[in-house]
Amino acid sequence: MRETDSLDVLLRKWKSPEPTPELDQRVMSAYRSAVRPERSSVPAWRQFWTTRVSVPAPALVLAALSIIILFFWWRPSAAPVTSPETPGAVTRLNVSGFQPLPNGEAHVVPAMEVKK
Amino acid sequence: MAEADLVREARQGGQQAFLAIYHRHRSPVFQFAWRLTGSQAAAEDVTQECFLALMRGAEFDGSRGGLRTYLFGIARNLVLRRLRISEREAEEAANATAPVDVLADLLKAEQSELVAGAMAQLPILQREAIVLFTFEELSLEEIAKITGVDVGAVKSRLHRARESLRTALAPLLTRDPERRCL
Repeated sequence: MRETDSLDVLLRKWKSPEPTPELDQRVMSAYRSAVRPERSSVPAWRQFWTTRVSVPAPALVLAALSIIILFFWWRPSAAPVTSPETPGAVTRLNVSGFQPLPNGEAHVVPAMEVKK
Repeated sequence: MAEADLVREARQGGQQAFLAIYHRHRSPVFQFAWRLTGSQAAAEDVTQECFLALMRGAEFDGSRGGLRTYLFGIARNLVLRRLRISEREAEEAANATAPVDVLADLLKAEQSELVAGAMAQLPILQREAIVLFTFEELSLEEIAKITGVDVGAVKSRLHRARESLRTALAPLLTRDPERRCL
């Protein structure tokens, strides 16, 4: 049982002010810095494939140009290509088993004998 | 959603849950702190610290009492710490009678200011008991839980506070002899 007499009536004339709107901002700011949202339960390797990175367009163009310039700058020089004198002709030389003739004279051997 | 669930969600970063708790209990906590400290700035600081302590502190158990009681308990400790009053000092002061004489101010002050003056003269433990009982309309058991004493001690503090206030505000009370029972 709660008894209310003239003292309670008088005491209730003591009114409290309301908190200022600045308090709300202060509390919310303090809450945000004190409590951070929990990390997602998605594994990091999965987050990697869905992570988006925003890059300013000028920075992106500059980076692309730099890559292209660097590619050409460091490109290894190719070996000089000598074109054959007779286009389309391929000369194959195989000197294995070559023995010079003892007397130094040249002999013409017919193709038939070579095949034999 | 139950308040314990709201607190849990707010601690995990749920801003909406935090706002729900904050808007529900902001004014009572602020008013309680203001009536104990008598200062708007101090009451706002205590209110802010109180809600942050709720987010950082031990787990709130809804089965052991309402969130308002829990918050008042935090606010009360913050006020006592702010006033740099140890429990022992406060207890000793609570046993003393408050010598208040407002007769000289009667003609030039509003009733509200006189009540504020008389309340300010009360020892802090008596003041918090009367604030929680009269203004926040908490039960004796809830006040005992907040202040960490038994119901008998709360009754005793309330009785002494009321006697001091009755003496201090006697000139106003004789003019307003209204009395009613609930």
